[in-house]
Amino acid sequence: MNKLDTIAAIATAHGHSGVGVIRVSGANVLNLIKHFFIKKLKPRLATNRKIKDKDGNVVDDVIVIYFQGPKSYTGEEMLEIQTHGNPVILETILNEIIPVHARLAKPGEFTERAFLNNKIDLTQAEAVADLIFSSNTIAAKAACASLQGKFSTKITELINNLIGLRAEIEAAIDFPEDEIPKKSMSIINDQLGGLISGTEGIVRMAKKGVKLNEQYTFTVAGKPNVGKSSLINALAEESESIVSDIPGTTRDAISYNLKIDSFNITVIDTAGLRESKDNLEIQGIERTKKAIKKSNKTLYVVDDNIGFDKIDKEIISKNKIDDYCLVFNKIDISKKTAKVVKGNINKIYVSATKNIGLELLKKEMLLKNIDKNEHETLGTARKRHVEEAKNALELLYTAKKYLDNYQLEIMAEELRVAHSHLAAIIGGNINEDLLDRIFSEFCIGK
Amino acid sequence: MKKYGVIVIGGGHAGCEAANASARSGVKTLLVTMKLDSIGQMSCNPAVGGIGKSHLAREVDALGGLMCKIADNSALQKRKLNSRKGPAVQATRIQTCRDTYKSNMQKEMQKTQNLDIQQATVSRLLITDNHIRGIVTDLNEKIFCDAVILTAGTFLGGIIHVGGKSFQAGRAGDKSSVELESFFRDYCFDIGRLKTGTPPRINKKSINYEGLLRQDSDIEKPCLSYLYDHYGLKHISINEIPCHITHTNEETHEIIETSRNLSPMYNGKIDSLGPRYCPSIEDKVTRFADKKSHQIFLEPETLSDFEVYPNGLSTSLPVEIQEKFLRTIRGLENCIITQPGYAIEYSFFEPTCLNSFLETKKIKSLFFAGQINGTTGYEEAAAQGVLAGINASCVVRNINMWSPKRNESYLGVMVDDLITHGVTEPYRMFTSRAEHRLRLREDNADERLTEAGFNLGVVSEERFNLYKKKISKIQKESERLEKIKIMPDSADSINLENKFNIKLKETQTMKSLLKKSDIGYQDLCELETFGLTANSDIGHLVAINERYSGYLKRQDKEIAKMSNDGNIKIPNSLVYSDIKALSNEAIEKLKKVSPKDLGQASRIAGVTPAMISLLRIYIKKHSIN
Repeated sequence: MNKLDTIAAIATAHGHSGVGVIRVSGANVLNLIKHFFIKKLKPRLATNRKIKDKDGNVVDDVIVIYFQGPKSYTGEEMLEIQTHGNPVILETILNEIIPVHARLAKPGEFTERAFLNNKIDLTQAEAVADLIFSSNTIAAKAACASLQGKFSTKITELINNLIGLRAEIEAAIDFPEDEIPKKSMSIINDQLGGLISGTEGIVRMAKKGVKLNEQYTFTVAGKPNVGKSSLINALAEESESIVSDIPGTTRDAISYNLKIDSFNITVIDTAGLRESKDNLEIQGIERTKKAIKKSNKTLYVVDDNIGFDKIDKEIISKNKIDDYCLVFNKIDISKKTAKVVKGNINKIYVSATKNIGLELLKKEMLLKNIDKNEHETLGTARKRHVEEAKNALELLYTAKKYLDNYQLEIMAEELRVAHSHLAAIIGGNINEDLLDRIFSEFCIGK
Repeated sequence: MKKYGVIVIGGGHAGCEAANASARSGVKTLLVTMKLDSIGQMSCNPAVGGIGKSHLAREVDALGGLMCKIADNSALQKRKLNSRKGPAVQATRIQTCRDTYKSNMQKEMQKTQNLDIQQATVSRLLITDNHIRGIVTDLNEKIFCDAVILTAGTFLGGIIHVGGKSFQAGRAGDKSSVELESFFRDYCFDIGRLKTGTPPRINKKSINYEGLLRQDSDIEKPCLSYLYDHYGLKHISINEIPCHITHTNEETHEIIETSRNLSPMYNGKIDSLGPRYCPSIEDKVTRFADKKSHQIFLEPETLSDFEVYPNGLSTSLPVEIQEKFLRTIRGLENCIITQPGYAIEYSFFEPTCLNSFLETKKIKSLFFAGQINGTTGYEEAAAQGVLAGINASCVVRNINMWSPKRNESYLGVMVDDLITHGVTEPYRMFTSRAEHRLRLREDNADERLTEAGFNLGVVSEERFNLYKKKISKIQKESERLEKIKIMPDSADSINLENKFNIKLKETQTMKSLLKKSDIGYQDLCELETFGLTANSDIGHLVAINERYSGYLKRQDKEIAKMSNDGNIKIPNSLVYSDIKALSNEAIEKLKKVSPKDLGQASRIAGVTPAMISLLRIYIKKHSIN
């Protein structure tokens, strides 16, 4: 097996809890121990230590356990840091480790390494692959959710400007004999300055986002008039959304922050999912689709008196709702009792207006979703974005230094790597994007 | 029974380098061409090198190839481009005499040992069990061999367009191209269409050069080949002829604009894709309508200097329109066209059908090189030719084939791009394609490749020794400069402060001073502690290495990380559709490219890091089963 780089991640579920755990795996663990604790740690012995930040301030009193490879979960050198279960403490410690001593682990990566280092039976390859696939799917959703709104607009704009600057510099390098209008150094300097402050803004924004967005999101969807808003109102025990008998009353995707058993959860109310010629409503439907894409799970509501029918099936496949459970509402009218029927797709029978079965629903919501073992949350997704933006920012600072010395090819190198970091946030092929811009903007062709 | 080790089909830039490389390695080689007289023909503009291209040409040279030597010995004008930018992006360009280049190439090929040349048209290949066995000519002669390199350029289905006229590319009624193309179609090769164009040629006597900007060789007269530029040998110099620069104007554009629908590019006759970086003048006028003028280089064609190549005026408008718009351009008011410009459509093989040795995946020991792989340019073709020549000869010699990496050569970047991404427009090299641009320089192609070439048998011992001499000189000078220390407040420290405004805070080695952008080797020579006067060429190379050393170290880390994935080979027997978590799109792409290792797989568009993790797991499971 090749030597892999060192990875780290918060291993416990997010939110407040008694104990939080950070796991680090890879050859650099020994250096990390030396850096933080100076003295060596005895393998497999829980030891009490203090963790200090760069400025020497104690962040937390922690229990650390060192596992000497190959006798560890991943088969590599490993360190487990047990902290107090405050998310802020966990974040702060992780920020001391990343990126100097390790990089943020990808979803499922600890298990992947365990498998590659023969710590997991080969016959379980499929199970490991499934885990990686599912945790990556969750991660992709979280990343997508994290990229909503202002943040996404900002970053797209930033990348766009970076491509513009790169196109000019690369065109000047690759096509010196073509008549490319030369921008003055001061304009390029301004452009670069703009990129730097833009990226600083992204880092700030993303950091704030880490705190704001660490929540699970559920979308409530279903045909018109099945009682979606009533359901949310019942969950929220408040009446904010308009509830009426006219199909399509709720036109905006409105989100509510709920607290269920001390977990913060976002629930998005949607417009009824049906084909509509009403412009306003079409907008609402588009919003629904977006909401489904960024939420962790969809609660698909069905009127139990009508039952799950063809239209529901169609709606689910058309809107690509893949992770959902069925909520059969209005059992007070159909005269059924509240229950959960487990299956491929779980079914929960409730009455929103009569407040029947809601406890079962809440339990279902928490059970399946909060305790995913790889803990890919919006927070981690956002953290990845922060890391990429920070890396890009460092490179942009250096690029500016080289611009002052007019070392175009070195500046170009810094910008290239910065571009690849930012592109990692929203995707895209940096080479193709660059060439497209050069050829659309400049008439090349000696 | 006629039998060779390697047979090369085609005598263009790829074919010549391929045949020569194979023969250099000691393998008995045959070059088959439709026309002996066309060997080494420059069918586009008569120049070698330029940004990105000279980088490739130097790699050909570092592997013992011909192109650079021949260009140097046929030079009409020599320039260094980007001379005021950093050394990594500087490039040499040689304007050559088309006739001299061709005849020099033919002489070189004729005197190559182990190489026979035969005029014939190949109508099919002999293949058993998906292994190449030989070729059959149109006269039904069978010639046997262990490996074939196909470098047929645009011969497959070439159609020339001028205005409303179109005809098969210069080889009308030629049976062979049709036969060979249908042969490959029968083998289910993925064949696509591309187009490119050339400008009209102009009688030099009809041009009025008065008042046009004249462009001469640079004073240093840079050479392309290391033999002349770094190893100190003397090249043959022929007469110099300058280029001139003129411009189109609004009148020119108006004529083009009003006749645009007569161009087959615009009336729907041609729908294949042309290169965006080399648009026709029709395209330029349309797409960049706000540009009132385009620059035209008037380049000499030959030493006899009869024709001129107006670079930048590629067109497929009707001949009379070509003359009409040309005559609106300053200096060309009375010009006479000797050959009209035209667009050419041609077929190419989708290069994802190749592995990184340029061997086809379908037929063992059959190699493709040059324009048939969707590339454009002499240098791109030549570089592929060398690689195919080396690997075909490896088949015969029964030794391991070789594929250069992205971080060691532009050749590696090009081949990896071709086989991983395929081609949607003619592929030309740009330095921006190379993520390791600071490492892949004109000045160090020999440091990157010559030893490998020597071990593969295509670089002569004599040449290898010249290279080693150069390297040891660089090393010695580098070590010497490392030992010279300049102390703060010493005489030299004061010199530095006066001249460069650099105040030394601590003792520094002379070598480390080269990291500073404004200090060159020449500046060091003027310091008191410098000592003996050393070779400034060598010193310059020391300075370049020092200048980029920090970046190269940073990249080394990246390369080490990447090589983890590069070291994990994907077995041919892996069935992608068995991995249920892969998306259909990813499965299709992986199947088409069939990447050799995880590194290549990760570069395929749409393949995510998570998919690479899944592949890694399945490969591991696979390797045990």
